[in-house]
Amino acid sequence: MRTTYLQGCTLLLLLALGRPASAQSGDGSIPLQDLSAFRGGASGWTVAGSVYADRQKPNTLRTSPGTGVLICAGTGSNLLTQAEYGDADVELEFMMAAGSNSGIYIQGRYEIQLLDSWGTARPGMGDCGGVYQRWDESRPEGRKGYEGHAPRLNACKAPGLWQTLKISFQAPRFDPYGKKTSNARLLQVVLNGEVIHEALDLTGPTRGPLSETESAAGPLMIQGDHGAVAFRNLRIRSFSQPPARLSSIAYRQYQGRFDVEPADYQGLSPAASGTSGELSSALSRSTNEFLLVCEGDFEVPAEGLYRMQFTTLGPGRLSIDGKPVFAWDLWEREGAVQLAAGRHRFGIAYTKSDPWYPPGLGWWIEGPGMRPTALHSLGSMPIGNPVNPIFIEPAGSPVLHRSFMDFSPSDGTPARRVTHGLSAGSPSRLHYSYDLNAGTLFQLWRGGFLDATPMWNDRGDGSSRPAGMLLSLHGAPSLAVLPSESSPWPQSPEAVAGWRARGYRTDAAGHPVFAAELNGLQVQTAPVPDAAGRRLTQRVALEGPVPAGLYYRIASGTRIEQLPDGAWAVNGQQYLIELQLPPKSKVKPLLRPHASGQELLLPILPKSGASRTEFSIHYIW
Amino acid sequence: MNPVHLMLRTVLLAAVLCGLAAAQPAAPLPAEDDYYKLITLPVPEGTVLEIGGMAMLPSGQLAVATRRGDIWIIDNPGMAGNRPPAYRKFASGMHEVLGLAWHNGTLYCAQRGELTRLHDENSDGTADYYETVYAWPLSGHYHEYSYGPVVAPDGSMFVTGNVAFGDREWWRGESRVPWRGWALRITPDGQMEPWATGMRSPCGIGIVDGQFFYGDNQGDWIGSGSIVHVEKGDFTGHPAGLRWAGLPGSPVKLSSEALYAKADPRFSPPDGLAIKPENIEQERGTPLFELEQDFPSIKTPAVWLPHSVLGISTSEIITDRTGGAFGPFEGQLFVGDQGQSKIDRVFLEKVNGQYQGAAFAFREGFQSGVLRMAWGQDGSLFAGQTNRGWGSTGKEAYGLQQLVWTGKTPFEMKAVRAMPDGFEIEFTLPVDKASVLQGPGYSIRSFIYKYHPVYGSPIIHEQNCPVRGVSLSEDGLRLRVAVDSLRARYIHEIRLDSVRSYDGQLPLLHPAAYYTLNSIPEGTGLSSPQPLIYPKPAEEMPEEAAAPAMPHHPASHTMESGKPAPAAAPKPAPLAKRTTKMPADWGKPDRTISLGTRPGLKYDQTLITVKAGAKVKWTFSNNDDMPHNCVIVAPGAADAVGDQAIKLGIKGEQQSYVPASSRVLFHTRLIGPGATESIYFAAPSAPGDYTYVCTVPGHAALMRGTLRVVK
Repeated sequence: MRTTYLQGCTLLLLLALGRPASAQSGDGSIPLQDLSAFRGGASGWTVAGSVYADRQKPNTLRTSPGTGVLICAGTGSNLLTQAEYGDADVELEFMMAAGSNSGIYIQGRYEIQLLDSWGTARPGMGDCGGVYQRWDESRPEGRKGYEGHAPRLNACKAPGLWQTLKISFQAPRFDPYGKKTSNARLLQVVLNGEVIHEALDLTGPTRGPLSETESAAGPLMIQGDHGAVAFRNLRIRSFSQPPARLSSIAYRQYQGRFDVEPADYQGLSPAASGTSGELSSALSRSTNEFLLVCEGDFEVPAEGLYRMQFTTLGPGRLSIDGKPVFAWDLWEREGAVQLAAGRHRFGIAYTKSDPWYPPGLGWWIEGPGMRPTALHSLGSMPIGNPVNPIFIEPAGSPVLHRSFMDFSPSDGTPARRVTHGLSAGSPSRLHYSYDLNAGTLFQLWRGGFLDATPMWNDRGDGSSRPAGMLLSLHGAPSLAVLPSESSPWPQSPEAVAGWRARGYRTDAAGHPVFAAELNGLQVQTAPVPDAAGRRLTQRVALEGPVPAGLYYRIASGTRIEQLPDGAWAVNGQQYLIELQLPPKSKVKPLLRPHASGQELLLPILPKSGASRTEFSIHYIW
Repeated sequence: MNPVHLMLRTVLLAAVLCGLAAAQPAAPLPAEDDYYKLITLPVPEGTVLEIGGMAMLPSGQLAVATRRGDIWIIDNPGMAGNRPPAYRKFASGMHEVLGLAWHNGTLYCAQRGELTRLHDENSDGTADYYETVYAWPLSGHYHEYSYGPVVAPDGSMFVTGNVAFGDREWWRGESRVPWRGWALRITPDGQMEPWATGMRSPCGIGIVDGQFFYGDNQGDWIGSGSIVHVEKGDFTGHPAGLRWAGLPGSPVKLSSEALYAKADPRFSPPDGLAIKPENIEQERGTPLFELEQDFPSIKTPAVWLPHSVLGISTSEIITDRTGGAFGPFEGQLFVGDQGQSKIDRVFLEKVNGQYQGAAFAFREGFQSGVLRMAWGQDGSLFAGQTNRGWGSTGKEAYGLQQLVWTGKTPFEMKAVRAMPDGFEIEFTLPVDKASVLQGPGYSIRSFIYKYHPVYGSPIIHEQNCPVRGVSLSEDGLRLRVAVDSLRARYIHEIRLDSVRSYDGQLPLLHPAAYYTLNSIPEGTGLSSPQPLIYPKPAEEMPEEAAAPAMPHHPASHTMESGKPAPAAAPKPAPLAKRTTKMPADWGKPDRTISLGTRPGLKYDQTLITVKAGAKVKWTFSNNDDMPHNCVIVAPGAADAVGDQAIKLGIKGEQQSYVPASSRVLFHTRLIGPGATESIYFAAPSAPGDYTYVCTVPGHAALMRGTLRVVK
């Protein structure tokens, strides 16, 4: 069995990072048809079909009838789930009203703050995503609050937009006498795709809990008396079962090449054998040309369907109770097996005859109420070798940097590598990338600027990555001449006849002004973030003869709708676009369908000779 | 001449010829450093000056472009008045800049994806308009570097682009989008003309004699580094770029299909495993020039730079126009080398309309990989350096150094010119007439490289050129050498080991020249060459290669001094240093060790511990994209063995770059990318920290690990 170097590398990378994908062992969705999943008596909570935040009026949500969206008026009381949870993963989407405030209390005790922190430069524990501080009345004035945890970065979006929050929580543990043996722990908190906390111990309940006494289980509590907020897609996956475990492992290791597993081990003498408390590829004394056989007990806490991932770097197989679960094969495989509660026997054979890669044996399991668990020891799989990262951050003025940029458009078009990308970092912490060839702003992000490690470590691969909360737009050219109103939008600059990118100037403040030409029409594009890092305004100026059928593509997404305040909401209120035309302009943008959604085009009125057209696009998110 | 003096001289010479020079207590011979001094420029802390481009401005300021995308303008780079240079960031944020030129008052540079002109419109000392002169497509592969520009006399510019590598056939250079593997000619107003293809890794570019030249790096289809005169429509050897020869505007009239019909690309079968082409040892091997009859587009190198002898990764090509301020080589070329951190010298001439000439070693010892060069206003040479991700003999990650002639003339072959029956060698200093008559001091051989899809090439079709006679000019500066078996199109190695200068009896600072004889001039030969003198056959010195295989106490002083070991009781015959079959009496190895590679000249393990005397099976797998070996040497011997390997010269590759030395204990052969070899040896009985090292020239300084032998 041979694999190429690159395949090998990719494989190792996957394996070093790899964990089995989340299994759907009970979806955990909380139905929002009504409030029956919650304890009665809460005031100020309703169910709606859709919601829109008036960005001009604090604390104002407007709803339309229906189900699926949980609305908090902000003037009532806290909402508690009927069910209680210990270890759990909580996922939800939320929408803040302008200036609003709420919070998610895990077990009714540990609060992840929800706040309209849009644009806050230095988020604290009281900002969106912060772990709110604990409170001790006995402490002196001004020091009663303690131990809050600020999020790693401000990943909060604008009011009126849907935001995502994922919390992986491990409940505190207690001995039989009720004494706490380990703290509650946030395994990971992800706000809008950005990890904001990880492996964080919480020493006790935060301020305003259901109870100051910690407990193995408690309800989820949503703060309902601070401000207007909406929720949808609430899901709580409870992990009440202890992890599966292995015991009484006996192993034998044979030396030599084994392309297939021997049908009969009689007559083969092992080079090493023994018992072990851990399952590990390292039980083999050599790192190549060996066959390792491990057998032992395997215990699961409850009856149910268990999903497994089994990985061998080289050929191997896994059987449970004498029945093959994964036949003799290579690399990663996944499957599920129905198991009765209690003890089972497992058997593993694993061989490796290629020197190309290190030994690796991995077995992960997850099942009903059980978190994904590795059954092998930490050192059984190759451990990645992270390098010191290289970050680029703007100091007092914008920083521009070109690189390759891997890009996944949000309008359903295929992911690709932008080869002529320029990223602009702003001290206001709102950054963007521009495709110099296509003349298109294709992504924005908030937080750190660039991770240049992939480009500058070792040989590098020429690419850098956004170091913050990312918003992908579309990557197609901005300007095109369409033969008719229904002609498809060109997807590459080569398809726009006469288009020529001319680079960029920097203005007095250091922001780039991109220059291009389209058959004599001079195109200048100047994206500038505002000082608070809340919105990015892209000024477009066209000078020269405008051909008939010229359009500027304002947006492309899976769905685009106009809100009552005139803004365009893209991809189901993921971000907003405000279009600013000259005062007397009568031009109406054209919203039309495309293969994977909709696009919003601005017609540019044809003019011969010298002319100047200007407009601005505001990205709000 | 004083007869006693002459006699003494002859004795000394004989001693040298007999290889006993080292035994004579003599004044140390002058070294490169006595003639050309290296001065290291200070770099502000925190500034990662991985230099990819350099240009001397008319103001005397030095502009330096980096892979981090900056352009620095350095005031007072020559440190006049012993004052330090001052750095100012002129431009930033560009995409891995690998070239910089000053033309008509502005700086031009190649980023990965475009040729850029930098304007300072408000004259505040920093660029405020990054103008795209011409953007070319890229696929986004890491290896798609772009170089240049160099400015032709007509003001047009040349840029070049690397090939990408395959996904499945990861060793194969491929051109994924138009013009990768090409040289492009671009005018300042942005008109692009595809110029030529056949480039693999064309980092080395330059304008020589008003013409565009480029240098390539060894790799698939490229047997060795070289410099090539690139005319419009030329095909220089790497076939990837031919994919675009049919596009409108292409001047190259050659298709991949036509080429592959004559030069088997050895593609892997479409299904099943990808199979990397390996050198076929028993085949005759085809040099590139043999395909010229079929394909007139082929352009072979003007001057080959034999791999590992004159570098491993050709970089900048620059002409000495200092009018003698840099020494006696006015008009000649200097060619940088990244991997071996050195600079070669090339004498170029035109014979029958073709460029050809001789290459010589010039100066080594730079702190990092020499990528770019620029002349200082004082006639010194600035060398901009980086080795990121590839490693280099100079261990620093980057650097900027100034090479200054001391004013003392080195004793060198200044030029080698082709003659109808041999060569004329011009020296920088008069030579001693007696020394040029010593027959054994001459070694002239010719050889060439294979043209095949394999990484690099062994030397093939090697042949001696016996010297018929010589003639020395009255002034002692020009030596005509008439030889037999001259071969057009071949590289001729000319070694003059016994020639001495008239004053001081110095040997040549660099005794070898490599002349690429593209064309043999017409005319008559030397009328009455003076025959050489050969000493009577004497006892042959035993070569170290013939020395007994390694003893059980490898680091013993007995062996180091070369004296025979005292007689001892007969022992079982020791294993050869490269034993690839498990000895029959072993049963099984005590230890099996698998060693791989990591990119950037690294083994994947840096410490391996074995028990003294253990029977070891040592498997070395090369998963890098260049050849490596694995040589286990005595404690502390890695530097010396690495140096010896470099000195193997053109024989190096045949010997897997393993020098015949008692300090080499065990070794693999040279392992190509994707290949593997297992050797068997008994670990040394003396505990200690031994070293395993890759002795491919340029690798030894970085690519090594410790083999710890414990009781």
